[in-house]
Amino acid sequence: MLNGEHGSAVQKAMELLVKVGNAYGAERMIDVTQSYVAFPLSEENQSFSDIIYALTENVTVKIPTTNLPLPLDLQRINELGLPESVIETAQKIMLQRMEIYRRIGVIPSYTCDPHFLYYLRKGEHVAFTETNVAMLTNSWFGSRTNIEGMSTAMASAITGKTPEYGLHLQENRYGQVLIEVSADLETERFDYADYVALAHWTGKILFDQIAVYNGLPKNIRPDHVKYMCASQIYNSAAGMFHIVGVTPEAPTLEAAFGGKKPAQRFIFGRKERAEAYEEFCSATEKKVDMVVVGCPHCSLNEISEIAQLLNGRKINKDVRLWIGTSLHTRALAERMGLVDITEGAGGLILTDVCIRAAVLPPYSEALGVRVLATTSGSIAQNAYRRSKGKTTAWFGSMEDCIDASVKGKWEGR
Amino acid sequence: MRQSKENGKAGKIRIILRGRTGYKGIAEGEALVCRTPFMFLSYVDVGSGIIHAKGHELEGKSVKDKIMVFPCGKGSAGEEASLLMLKQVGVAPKAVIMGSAVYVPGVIGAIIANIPLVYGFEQNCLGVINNGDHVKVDADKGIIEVTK
Repeated sequence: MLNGEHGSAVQKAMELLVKVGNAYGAERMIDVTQSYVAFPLSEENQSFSDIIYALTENVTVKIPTTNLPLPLDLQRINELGLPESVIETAQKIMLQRMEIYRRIGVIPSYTCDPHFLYYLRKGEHVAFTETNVAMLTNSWFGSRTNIEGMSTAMASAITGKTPEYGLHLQENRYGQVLIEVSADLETERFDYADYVALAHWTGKILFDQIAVYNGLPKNIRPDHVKYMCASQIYNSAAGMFHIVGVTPEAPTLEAAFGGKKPAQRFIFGRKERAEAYEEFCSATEKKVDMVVVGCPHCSLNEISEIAQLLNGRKINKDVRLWIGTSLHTRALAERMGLVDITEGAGGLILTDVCIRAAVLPPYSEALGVRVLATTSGSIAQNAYRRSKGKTTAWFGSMEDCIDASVKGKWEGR
Repeated sequence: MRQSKENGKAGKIRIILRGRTGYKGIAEGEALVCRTPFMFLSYVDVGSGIIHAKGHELEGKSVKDKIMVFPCGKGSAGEEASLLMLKQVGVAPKAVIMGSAVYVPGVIGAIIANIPLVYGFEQNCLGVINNGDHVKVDADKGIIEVTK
């Protein structure tokens, strides 16, 4: 493949994979069975986009490949209240990307919750980009992937190969730091936001080490773990963690650490949780302009919870409620009557869109969002930082967020 | 680690650290050291190369032409594109030194931007490099030379 006998895209892909393999001292290339790919959400970095385009010329993907969200929801682009110029640019980018994906045979999932579409098994080697998706793949499914870049994920999709290093190797997958979750937190009642807070706080002490969480409920759902994945990586480097008695590589504490002793042990209690919440909340004004749920994309479970929380109430006329999910999840929610309930109340269930990176910013000002409320720690921080403080955020539970959308003001903790 | 006083230059200390080649190349410049996991994406203003993240330990400092030193990367996989972006605007660091390469998108980022990268030192490199130290990076050999 390196000699160009399979065309220039495959040659470029192999050259890149060899360079990355060399950086890590990988001894060989291994086969991967699935890939998860992306293009940048904007064209502001044209030469980076060009690198990915070059990997898609005159080829089709060699393995089942799903993909990351697009900048906006193409179907509902005119309902979002965005300026005409924004819509035009976004439409152009999206149509171009969709055309490439169709040509090379990518499954157009456009979601950061793609696991629904293809089964994964423990020990299976895959090549997934996007931190939350890659971390959930490692942590929850026990499949093996490094946090791939967009370039390397595309390179693996068209070659079916990845260098063998990092989390593909058993010795790099054992836990190193023990996080004891204090029993007085009543973890069985943890909301998504509590899991975000836990993983955010943990990330800050980890640096590049792998965490082992002890004391979380045995009936923890993949949705909860999804929120943990999305949060932890913003503060630390490792592409996986373990939950004792829950995740497949951590049936026991000893197994999670590969028989070794934890390098360090920390306790997450009330004080630590409160600190994390405080860090995400940059807002002081109670009046809320927008409520955003769906980073990562909502599961059917979450959409069902939202519909129950709305329960006949109407969303405040001065508030936008945006919910991000996948096309397939929304289709099922529609069949269940959940879309009628939520959109009937005044919310929008959007598909294919990355609200965190593609909407809030850059368009928080254009949308007139001064104060937002969200279950997502990264939306709360990102919107505040990248607007240079012009948009402030409340962070809290699903219940508090949906309440805020009805009442038009934040009353959460 | 080798430490020696240079002849004739009173007070100058030269330290040589041996790591691994992440991406080849040779560079030298002034060290900019972050003590916690670092990302260029969203921390660094693309137009100016200045770290604009509120409350960050390096807030207000520029990464342009620096030898950027930090324990490991972190953050969204989009970090992969950020060094290339900074390079095109002309405000990229000259080289990157990481304690560990566990965070993969940061390593891919240096590779596609053609920026020398050395990582994985026997002794924690952060303990001996301070802001303003002069650092020579020979990423081909995985060696860095710190003069203070």
